[in-house]
Amino acid sequence: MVDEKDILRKLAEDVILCNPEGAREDAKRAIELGISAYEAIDEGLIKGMTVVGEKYESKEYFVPDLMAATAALNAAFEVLKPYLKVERAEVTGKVVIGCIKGNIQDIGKNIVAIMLTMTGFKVYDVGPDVPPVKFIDAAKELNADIIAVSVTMLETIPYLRELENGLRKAGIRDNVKLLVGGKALSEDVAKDVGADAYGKDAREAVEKAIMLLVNKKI
Amino acid sequence: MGGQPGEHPAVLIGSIFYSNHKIVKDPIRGEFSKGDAENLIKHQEEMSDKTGSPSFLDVVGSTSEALVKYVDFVAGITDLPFLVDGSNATVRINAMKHAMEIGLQNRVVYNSINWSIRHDEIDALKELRVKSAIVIAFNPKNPWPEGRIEVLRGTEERKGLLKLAKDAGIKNTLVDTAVTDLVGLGLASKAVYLVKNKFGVPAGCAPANAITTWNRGKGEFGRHGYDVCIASSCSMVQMAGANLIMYGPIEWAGLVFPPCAMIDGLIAYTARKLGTKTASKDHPLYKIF
Repeated sequence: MVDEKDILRKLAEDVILCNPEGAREDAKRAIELGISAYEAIDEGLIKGMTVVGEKYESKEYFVPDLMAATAALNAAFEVLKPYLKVERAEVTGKVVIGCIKGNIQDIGKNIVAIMLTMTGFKVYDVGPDVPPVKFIDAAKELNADIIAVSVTMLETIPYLRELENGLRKAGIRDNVKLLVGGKALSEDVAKDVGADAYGKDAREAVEKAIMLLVNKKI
Repeated sequence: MGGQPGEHPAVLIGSIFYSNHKIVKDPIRGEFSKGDAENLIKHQEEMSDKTGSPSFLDVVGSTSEALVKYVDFVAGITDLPFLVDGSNATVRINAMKHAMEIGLQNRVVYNSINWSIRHDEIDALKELRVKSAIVIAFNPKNPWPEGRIEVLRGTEERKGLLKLAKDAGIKNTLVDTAVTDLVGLGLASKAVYLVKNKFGVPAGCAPANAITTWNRGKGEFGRHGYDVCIASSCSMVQMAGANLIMYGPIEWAGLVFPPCAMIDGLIAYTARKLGTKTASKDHPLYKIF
């Protein structure tokens, strides 16, 4: 008999093995077994995606594998999404999220995007390898509260500065908070580039996003 | 372009005025060294004449102002067909509008119709009566060769890109099978074969997109080793049946034309034994050996 642990393990495997059909089916089975959508995401999908990230770092996986794993994760997420309870989603901010130009590794960004969505944010994912001006255009168009940026390549940090300057030049810096994260950054670097907050991992990024939103509204 | 293997050689397409191209002085206003640009284009033409491999240009611009200037320059200096390749739809459409106004209908190829195309872009292409376009078979939901077929064919939820190209009035569709990264070159090559087989349209890809991101290849194996990898990547997609190869910066013409012409010659000779004749005596088979 399949138990809760088996299903969570299978969900992680579906992501690792890039199997969208399996992920969709296992997400349905998780719900049928009474597993909360949050747990299925946290303990299944995100665990799987973390392994995919490790495999990418060790050059066992490549860009097509990342895309296929993300597709599997999204397939399951679509099934789980309606079961994300509203009471946990008390925040109602808009976040534009993406990886700054030169960064194609978007696993961390994808995980943060999912966790922000779970928390109740409206998330607009502009994707990997995004020039600063596209973040600014999206933030203006959507009237976003937060721009969340992932930076995994050290040499692309100057683009963060360009983004921060661009927000000022566009006259929207006071309206849009800049949240940054990714393995190329630290708290100090984040301050240095003028970011409003730094999240060292996905959970902290979400906590900081909530704080930014709360402070903005005070 | 197209036909049975051995009939026509692959068209080799070099990029000019691309991001950080050293001949460009101001990418926003489109200021560049005309002498250097002319030399690069002439060099590609010479390589094409010498080897028999036909060539196009991929003219890249980041603003409408710049791309229009590049289009004017290229149209005046060569008779080659060229791709109009802008950083976004507005830039591309503005430049295409200009190209059509000055009578380049039969020389310009819109680059590109892709997954993110919007209705206003399709309408604009139709209104301008653009004849030729590159269609990029990139499927963010399925990176495997079959995913490229799916995005071209369409699904119940989403219209296929080949149908969208038709809606836009495109008569000559050239499929780019979308190289995602270096290992993705194999997938894109397999997709070239599948696309031609299933849809009967010319197909190819841009190996340079992968090679230029291969930092280890650049650093560790020396210039010679890296150059051989550039040429080999083009040869690989050619052996999968590519009709068009976007080989990268136009400066690489000297690296790419000889091996591609040689391979087209070999393909044509082999095909001759199967009853296929070359479409003309300008084929590399009669020039390269």
